[in-house]
Amino acid sequence: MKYKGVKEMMTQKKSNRFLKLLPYLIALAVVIIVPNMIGKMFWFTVFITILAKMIAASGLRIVSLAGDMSFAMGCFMGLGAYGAAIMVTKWQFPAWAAIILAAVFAAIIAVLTGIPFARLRSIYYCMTTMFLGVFLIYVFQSFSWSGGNTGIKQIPKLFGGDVRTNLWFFIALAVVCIALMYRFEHCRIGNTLKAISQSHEVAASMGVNERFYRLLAIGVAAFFCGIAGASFALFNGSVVGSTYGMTLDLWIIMFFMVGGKDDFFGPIVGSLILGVVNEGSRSLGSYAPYLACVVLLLVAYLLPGGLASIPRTIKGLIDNAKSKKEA
Amino acid sequence: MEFQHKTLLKTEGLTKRFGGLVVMDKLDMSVKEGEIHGLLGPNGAGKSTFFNLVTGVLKPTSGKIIYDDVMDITNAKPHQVARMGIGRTFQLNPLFGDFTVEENIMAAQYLHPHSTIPQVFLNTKKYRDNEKEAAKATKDILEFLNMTSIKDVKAKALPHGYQKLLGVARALAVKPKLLMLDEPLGGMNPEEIHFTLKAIDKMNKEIGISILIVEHNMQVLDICDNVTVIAFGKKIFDGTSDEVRDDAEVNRVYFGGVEYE
Repeated sequence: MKYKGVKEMMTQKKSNRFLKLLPYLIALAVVIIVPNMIGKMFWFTVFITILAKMIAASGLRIVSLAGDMSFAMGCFMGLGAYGAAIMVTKWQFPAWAAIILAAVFAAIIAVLTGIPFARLRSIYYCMTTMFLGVFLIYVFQSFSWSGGNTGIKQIPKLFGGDVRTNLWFFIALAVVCIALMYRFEHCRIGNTLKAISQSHEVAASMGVNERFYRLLAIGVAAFFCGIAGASFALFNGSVVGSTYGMTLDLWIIMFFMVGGKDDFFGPIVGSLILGVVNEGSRSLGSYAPYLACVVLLLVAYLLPGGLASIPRTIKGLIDNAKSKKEA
Repeated sequence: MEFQHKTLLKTEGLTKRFGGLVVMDKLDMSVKEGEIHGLLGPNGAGKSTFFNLVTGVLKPTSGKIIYDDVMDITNAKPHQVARMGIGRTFQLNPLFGDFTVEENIMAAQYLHPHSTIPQVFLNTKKYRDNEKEAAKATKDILEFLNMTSIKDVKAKALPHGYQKLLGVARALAVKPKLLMLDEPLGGMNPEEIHFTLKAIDKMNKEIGISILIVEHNMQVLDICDNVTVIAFGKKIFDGTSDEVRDDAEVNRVYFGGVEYE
């Protein structure tokens, strides 16, 4: 006995239109992107950037499990980046220790700021994270010991700056981080967070300490963002505060939404596709972000479940066709 | 005779004001262990406020709430109250709509802390044992309430009567000593009312849970042992369910003669 809601049927009808458009879109994307890709080392760097942002976007998914949306993910990446840069340059920490400690630092700051902020819910919480996203990086930019406006330069690079090794390192890092996050979501903790997002009153009536779980989610998400930010800073060899501002936060949210907010693999698919589209359209110059925006709008209108929901909608279409045949 | 059972829930001079509005005025009442206690009253009498005060959603202006004879839960938070063994349902009955019936009940088991976070994350033996226990308890509850056949339906797709029953099932999964039902009959047809009352009675008789029912539908009197009636935040009657039918004051409040000012 399975019912199909009106909403689901609407989605399917819309995605039907999208599927007709899909081949043209792919063709357009390939025409613009592929010439840029051929024979350029630059693509290794692009993929490393994408992988770092992918980890952050998956972290955002953990926060979203509890029904929150956060504009501070990029800022937590920045905390990780600054933390690692300072530890390596000023205190001569080994790179691996710096990455982990910087991530823990980001998580601690996230939880400490979360204690007052997580009293709020939904859009109101979201607004406080926006404040965090702008403010925390500004703190680093205003002191000379953290490099001021120009940031921290000449950080000893990961693996001596060899891009190929770095790419493999980032792939391994992303796989490990995403596997850990997968486990986090698919055990009791994840289910509890989903329950809180559906009704915090009911969850409380069952003995769930809502604030504890939300802080846990924020802390874990910030930890992974911190790892991504720290690793990227050590790969890049420099940290500039402005890179971790609101633009990065918005990109991470875009990756998350375009990929699909209801699937675990949404942020992963989203960051891969949108990242490649954005970097691949560099030949368009300052118009490049518009192509990403076109993708965002198309997905928002035609595929509300995000790119990761394509297999699901196709399966729904096939089931629909089957049941029509039977009837 | 009246004091052979110990008192499970007791309020002393419970008062709640919203600004100048007194919604609960020095209410003293007690629920004994093992009984079904009805809290009746017309709309706006303060029944739901009483619920929210006991479960910690609202803080009382003054007065005390004593649980199990010894514990003062006046200022406890909702999740702390739940962990002490007070399960509740909601009047508007919010469900985990995207979860199936089984998942809803299962979630209620998750939420009761059995394993620590690292144990859960690392999938230790203790966590797996807990998980099996939870699955078994869920199965028992489904069987107890005859819901096994609908266990894979999403909660939001259920008919209203079943949604209400699911609310009860979920509260049951918390393994409460005291189960507080907020208008369990609200919006039900006669058949569903009959069915639900039977289920509530069965829970009390077979599992031995004490139950506090808030309701304005007088049909709950059929299963209640003791009844408290409130109107405008004040207690107007306290006694057995047989006595309440003949009480002049209650009849006046319910069936007219009362002057609403």
